[in-house]
Order: sequence, then C-alpha cells, then structure tokens
Amino acid sequence: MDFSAFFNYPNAKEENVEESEQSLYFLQSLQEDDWQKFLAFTQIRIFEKSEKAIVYKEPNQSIFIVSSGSFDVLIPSRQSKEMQKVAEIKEGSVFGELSFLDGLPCSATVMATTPSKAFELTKQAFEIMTSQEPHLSNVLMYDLARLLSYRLRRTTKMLML
Amino acid sequence: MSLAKKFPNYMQVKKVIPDWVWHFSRVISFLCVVAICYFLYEKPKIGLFLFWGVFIPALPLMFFIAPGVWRNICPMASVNQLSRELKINKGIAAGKRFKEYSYVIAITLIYLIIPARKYLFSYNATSLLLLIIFMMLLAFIGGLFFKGKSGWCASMCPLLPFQQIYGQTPFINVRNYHCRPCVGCVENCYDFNPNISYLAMLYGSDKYSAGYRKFFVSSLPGLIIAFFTVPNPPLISIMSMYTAALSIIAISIAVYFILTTFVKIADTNIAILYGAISINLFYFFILPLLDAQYSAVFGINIPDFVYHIVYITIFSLSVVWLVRTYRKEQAFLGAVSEEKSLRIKSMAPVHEFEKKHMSNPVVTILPSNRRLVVNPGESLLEIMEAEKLPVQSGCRVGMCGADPVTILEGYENLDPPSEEEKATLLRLGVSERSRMACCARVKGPVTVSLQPELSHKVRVAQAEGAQFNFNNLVIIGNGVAGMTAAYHVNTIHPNCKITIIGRESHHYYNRMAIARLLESHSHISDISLLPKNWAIAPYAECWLNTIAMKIDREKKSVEIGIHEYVSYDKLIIATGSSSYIPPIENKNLKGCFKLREADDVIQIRKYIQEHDCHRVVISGGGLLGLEPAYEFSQYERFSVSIVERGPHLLMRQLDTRAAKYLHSYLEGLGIHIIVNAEVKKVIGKKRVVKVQVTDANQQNEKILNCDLLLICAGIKPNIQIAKECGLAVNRGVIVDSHMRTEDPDIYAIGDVAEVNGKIEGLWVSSMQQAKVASQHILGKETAYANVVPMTILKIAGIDVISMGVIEPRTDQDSVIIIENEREKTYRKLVISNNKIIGAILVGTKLYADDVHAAIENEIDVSAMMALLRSGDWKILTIKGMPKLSGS
Repeated sequence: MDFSAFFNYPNAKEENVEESEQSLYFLQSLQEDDWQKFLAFTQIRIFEKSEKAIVYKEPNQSIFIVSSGSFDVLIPSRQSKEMQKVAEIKEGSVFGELSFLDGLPCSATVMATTPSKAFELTKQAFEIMTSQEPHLSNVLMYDLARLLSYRLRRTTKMLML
Repeated sequence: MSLAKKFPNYMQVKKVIPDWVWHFSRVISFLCVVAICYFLYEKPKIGLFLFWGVFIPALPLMFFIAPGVWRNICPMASVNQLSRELKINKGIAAGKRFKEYSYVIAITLIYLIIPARKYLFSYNATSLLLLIIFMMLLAFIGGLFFKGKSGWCASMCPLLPFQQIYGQTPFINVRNYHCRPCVGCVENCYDFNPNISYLAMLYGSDKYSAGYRKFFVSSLPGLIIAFFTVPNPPLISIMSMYTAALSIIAISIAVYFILTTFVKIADTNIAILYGAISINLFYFFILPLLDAQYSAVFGINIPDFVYHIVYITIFSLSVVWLVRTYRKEQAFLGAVSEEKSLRIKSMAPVHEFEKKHMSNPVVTILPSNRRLVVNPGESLLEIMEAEKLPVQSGCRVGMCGADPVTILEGYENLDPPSEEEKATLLRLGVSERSRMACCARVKGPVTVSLQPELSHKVRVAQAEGAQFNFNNLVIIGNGVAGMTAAYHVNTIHPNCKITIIGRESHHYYNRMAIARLLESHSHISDISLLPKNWAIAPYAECWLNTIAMKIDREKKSVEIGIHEYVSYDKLIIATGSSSYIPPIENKNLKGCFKLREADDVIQIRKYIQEHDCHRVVISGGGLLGLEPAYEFSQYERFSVSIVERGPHLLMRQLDTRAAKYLHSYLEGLGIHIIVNAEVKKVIGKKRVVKVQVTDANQQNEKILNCDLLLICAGIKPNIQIAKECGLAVNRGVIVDSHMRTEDPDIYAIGDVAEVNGKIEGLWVSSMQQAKVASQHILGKETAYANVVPMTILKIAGIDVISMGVIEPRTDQDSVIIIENEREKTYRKLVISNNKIIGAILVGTKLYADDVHAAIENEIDVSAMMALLRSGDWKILTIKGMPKLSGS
C-alpha cells in the first residue's frame, strides 16, 4: 500500500510520490474540445441512494466517472459472505475500468451512498469512439495501461524486501 | 483534500497553544528531570517515589489522551533537539540498517529496563540516576549526529513503542512544535501524523517492520502481568524471575498468534485489542500499589472509591478508544484504496458538459430502474441499445413488432404513435400504454418497462356476421408475409381455418435479428415475434419443419413432404427467398455457411465453438453481409474481413461518396474491407482454413486465413413450387396489384412475389403485401402500391439510411449533396420532376422521416430548392409531414 499521501513531508522530494500522483490522473492530456467530444460518447446516469452501479461477480462493460455524490466500494469479507466497505469514491473518481478492460466479472460492488451522477462509457461507445475519434481512445487506453503499470510496479515493490 | 480532515498531519492541526507556552513547558519539564535527579542523588526515597510513583504511572495515560503534549515537552526530546537549535547537529540521514533496526533497539531497551526494575531500578536510586543520565546522553548524541528526530525520538527511544500503541488514536491532537521545518527524516513519522503512523507501519510493505511491532504489542500484556505478578528478587532468584516473566510473556505472544490464526478478524484488530488490554492491566495493577505508596508517603488514606472511579474512567476511555481506533482503521483503509483509484484531475469540463445537458429528459427503465439523461429526440430503442439492455430490434419503423415496451409514466412526453405503429400495437395485443421502442422518441421524462403489458380487451372480429366464400386458407411460409396475412384474415374472418406450412423448425421469428443469435445469451425465443396472446390459435395451425412439395391446382390441395395433403379454398404462397450462392470453388467444405435463417446462425455458432474460430471472412458487402460483420467485430476474439465484388460497400443503397464514410468507420472498428474482389476458392482439407480472393479482373489473387466463411451474396426467391404447378413466374411469382397470381385462388406475397415487375424483398413491403392480399381474399378491392424502400443499416455508431432512387435516372433529374467531411456527414437528395425520389443520409438521421414522407407523398419541392441546397431541410418538416423526425 502506498501511504505517501499521509506523509507528504513538505521538503521531501521523493520521486515515487510525484510518479504515483501523475499515474493516477485519468485523461489529463485531453484539451477542452476533446473533453466535450469524449463526453458526448458517454451516457449520464443518475443513481439513487443505495442503487448499485456495478455488482460484484456480475458482468460490466463500462467505465464510470463520478460527477457528483458518493459511492461505496464493497467486497465480500473474507470470513462472512457479507459485503464490506473497502473504499469510498467521490466526484472525479473513475471505476469499472478493470472489467471494462478484461471483460471479467466485477471485482467489487459500487453502490451510491447519496443521490449521485456518473458518466458511463460503455464498451460499445468506446468502440464507436475508436472509429470516430481514434486519438481519444488512444489517450484513454494509454491512461488505463499506465494505471495498470503503476499498480504492477507497486505490487512488485511490495514483494521486494 | 478529505485526508486532511480525516487524518490531519501535524501541519494541518490548528495551532491552539502558542509556542512560548511550549518553550516554557519544555524548560519546566527539563527542570523536573533535574529535580528528580537531584532527589535521586540527595534524597533517594523521594526521588524514587517521584519517578516511579508519580511520573511513570502518569505517562501511559498521557500517551493515551494527548501523546502530542508529551512529544512536545519530553525532556529527552528537548535534549535531542538541542543540537539542532544550537545549529551544531550534523544532520546525517539515517541509514537503511539503522532505520530497520532502531525499533528493535527500542524494544530491547524496554525488555532490559523493565524486568531490571524489579531488582534494581525501582529500589536503587543511583542506578536509576545513571539510567536517566545515560538515556539523556543517548538522546543528545542521537540528535547531534542524525537528521531531525531520527537519531532518537522517532527511532530508538524506548517510550516510542508505548506511544505508538497507546497513542495511536489520540483523544486530543496536538500540533508538533519541534520539527520546524519538517525534514522528512523517517518514514511514517509518528510526529508528523500520529493517527496514521502505527497503521502505516502495520500495513506497510515492509513485513519485518510490521512484524516487530506486532511482536511487541503481542508481548505487552504479558510483560505487564509478569512485572506485577512475578515476585521480586530476592523473594525468588533473579533467574527464576526471568524464567517466570518470560513464560508469561511467551503465553501472551502465543495467545496473540493463536487468535490471529483462528479468530477471523484482521490481526491489526487483535493488536488494537491487545493495546486496550495492556493499558487496563497496567492501571488495574498499579492503582492499588499507588494507593499503598501514597498512603505511606502522605499518611492519608485515599478512599477506595477514588481509585474505582479512576479505574472505571480509564476502562471507559479504553472502550471508546477501541471503537475509535477500529473505525479509524476502516476509514484509513478506505482512504488508502481511495487514493488508489483512478481520478480526473479537473472536473470542470465534465461539469460544464453536465450543465449543458441538465435540462435534458431523464428516462427511467424498469426492471433495472436505470435512470439516464438522454438527448431529446432519441428513440427509446436507441437509448436501450446503447445501454445494452435486453431489447430486440427489427424494422425500426414500428411495424415488425419486435420491441414493444410499456410506458409507465410520461406517455405524453413521447412523439405520438403513427398509424402503422398503432396497427402493430393492436396486432401485438398490448395495452394502451404500450409503444414500439423504435418509434417512441423522447421529449420529456419517461418511465418505461421492458416488460410488454398485454391488453385485457378481448379482440373482436371486425366483420362479425359477414359471409365469406371460403373457410379454408392455406399459407405456405411462416415468415412475416405469411403470418401477417394469417393475422389479417383471422381478424376479419375468425371462423376461417388457417393452415400455415412452415419449412423452418421455428415459429415466426425476427429474421432481421438473427445475427443476434451469435451473442452470448441469445436464444431463438429471444427473437420470437409471436404475440404472447396469439389469438388466432384455435383456428390456425402452424406446421413447422414441413416442406410444401407440390400444389395441385385442380384438386386444390398442397402435398407436404410427409405425403399428406392439405386442401385449400384459398392459397397464399409466401415461401420467401433463399441465399444466393455464387460459384465458389470448394464451397461445400466445412466452415462455409450461408446466413439467411435462424438455423444457419445456430449452426454457425455451434461450428465456431467446436472449432475455435477467430478469422471470419464474409463474402458480400451488402446489407446481408455488413450486419453479421459488425456483430462479429463486437467480439475481440474475431478478426473480420469483408470481400465485396463491387467498388464499394452497400452497392444498392449508397453512392461512392457515402460509402466512403461507412468504409472508414467500419475499418475503424477493425473490420478489414476488400472491394472489387470476390472469394473464388475455399482452401482446406477437412474444413476451411484459407480462402482465395481475386480481384474483378481475375488478375491478382490474395490468400486470406479463414476459419469461417459466410456467404452473403444476395437472395433468390423460392419460386420452385409455384413454377412447378404452372403459375407464371419471372424472377419471382408474377402477381397483379392485389397480389393474386393468374390462378384466382392463389396469391403470392413477400420476397417471392413479383409485383409491377419488381421484387421488393423488404420487411415493410411484405407486411403491406400481406395486408393487400388478405383484404382481397376477404373481398375488399385494395391495390398494392410499391412502397418507397427505406433501408436503415443496423450498425451502432453510424447512421446510414437510404431510400428510393439513389442516383439520377435521366439528365433531367437533379441531385443535392450536403457533405461535411469534418463531421463526417453526408446527405443526398435525388430530385426528379420537382419531387424527391430518393435520398441517402450518412452520419446523421436528421430529417430522415421527413424526407421519406416527402418521397411517399410526392411533395412538390420546386419552391424549396434554395433551402434544400443550403442544407436547411427543416422546410420538409414545416410542410406538415405526417411524421416528425428526431431533430
């Protein structure tokens, strides 16, 4: 796990901190026009409190960007089958990217805890975007790949002692 | 940042106490140590009492409630930071080894000092004095050489492990006053972020570092119990004391590891529990001892209830602490994973977009209760397809009956239904609040259920009591033409016996949707078009998997393949058409398929699975070929190639320029397109592995790897049975405008019928022909007028619509083309004698319905030419067309 955010020492210039921050920003290189083009491929979804956007072990083919409200990320606890909250995600967070990429069932349930809004990019919309605006898809894929690479590096680091 | 609120680091904690107070307290605390040292030297009893009876018992409570206070005033810290303040420290960054083992040094010191109290430090003032001086010296040296607090306070100090355990969730957060500025000297610094430091250590990637801490906390209750329960030497020997103490500590550690192994809660939670137990044990044992000591020193007996109150307070605090610490850990874990998630740095563009679309209608779709903000004018079908909701589609003009939905709320917020759609809803027998999703364009908020709702109204035959000269209708073919005819006849003449002979083994289904059967969940029942309350059941028999062999016009009977005869008063031939298979060498090899019927798709699907197919070649770039090509391209495992004979795709529907947009869109989806070429030969031993493609001049050839070849080259009407019984045929069965063949009792409709010299071959025209034929059979003189064919390509992401005549037929015909290469839109009108006779729309569906209506109604456009040429086709809408487009 990365705790650098808790210990962001004012004068410390550790490379890792900057690298991690950068890696986690999605679609940062998009210009304003591109953003509007990109969002035109998405679908605005409205969620009520307790409504699930994606469900653990069920298929999902979309990436979601939270635009307002907040969601809990739930996974079944190791002991009981009950779903346990592992994270809270808010405005600006992105979820669903794993099953979007690999087509496997969701690794967690994401449930709205307040009335919320999210932008959904379906796999089909992504395909359409790939054909119509290939550079947008390129940026998106590159960012997702960067995220995975970042996570993998961190895992490697955790294995190194 | 939310982290700052939840887990403020010391720089984010508000400064409440001014620095001079800390300066002052620091001096006082240092003087206290000097005083204790003085007493230890001069008056050992008082010194020992002050140190062990006042100072030490107060420390854990201070760590527990406000550890920051101690961190700021600790005399060892003052000594440690002295060299920094005098600017004489060397500021060496601690090495890796030192960082790793400093905690081990700290707990070793604890294990050396605490048991030694029992026979030395608690009684011998000189040794205690030396110990204090030694510790102060170590703290000073650490500060002299190492950077920040890394030489003592944040590394080796034996008080630090206690602070980290008891003080991991301070009741009062106190701002660190020493580290100005913070130099980031240690990882996961306790001074920097006391709430997180210990957790970060336990959850940290360094398993050893976490292990040392878990080891210490697991031993702590044992250490406390041992300290207070094992008799002091000389009551027992020092050796026995150590043995007994170690045994108790070992049990404590063992219990911890047993608990972490067998109790299914996180080991960090057990660590917290051990922390709470430790502080309770400490005060449980020490309070009675203090009672005795204080009584002895001050000569007054403090009543028991005071100690009880003190103990209960500590116990209650520890329960609160336990809960707070547990919750904090959960929040910490949440925050850690939150930090991991992918984020958008600036949401401004997202919010801007959202603001622009705020007033758009919201569509709620049941049963999933999905709420979507949609663009006004979108049809429910388009919305649901984009969301991959389980909805069927067919003709997309409200006639085939594939997509009925129920509008639970906001019916008035949809474009009103057309006459055709109303007829379809009536035919399907669905309730009044139903709509065909493809036609229901959204104007305002709507709640829609995917579940069709059946009407409770009993269908009443429209011509009850009327006399008909026939009671026995036979229909060959259970496709759209045959089934529509059966419906119409039954509606007017419910007592007529209707026999439908279906060659395929499935009930009436949506042929336009067969490519869907390739999808993972699809089943033939998903594309069934039989209305749920198929009311004609008692009088209509549908024979499936039955081939009509011969028509005996004299005996008025049809021989079917199992040597039975079905007699008729009236016969409708609706045998449809089959795939046209061009001459391809070796086309009978396994892996070559046509794609026309549900069974074809079922076979294809089976073959794909059995032979793990990846490379699909589709021969034919017409409508028939493109839709399966698109369907396959949606799955990453398939690579798809289309081989088209003509110079571009959709030769019948598009011109070269329009096809260019479609071509590049499909290529963008990853579909490989070869034009001016055809599949000549299939290569392979047992099954297809390659195909040979040659160009139009037969000069160049190319070999494509191929696991599956789909031949979608066109259709040919099934006229055999009509031809054999002597009916006049051309390409199709020749019929008059009532769809009647030269035999007055035999009609032909659908793909097999040639009317006015044309075979329409479209779903919508088949329905129209079925209606005309059945009305004529029932005695009504209606004539079939060729419909203006409107073709909508069912490929998501690009609108391709073609209608009527797409190229000028004479020099007098004119053409209007509005093209925007940047937006990839192309609109074309073909105008003849001041009437629009055909159109192509690519990349836009704006005005599609208006243009179609203008063609059908033969609107005179002579006065609007300027506007049409400018690209502003709104005029067609304003002209009062029956249907409005989703503009």
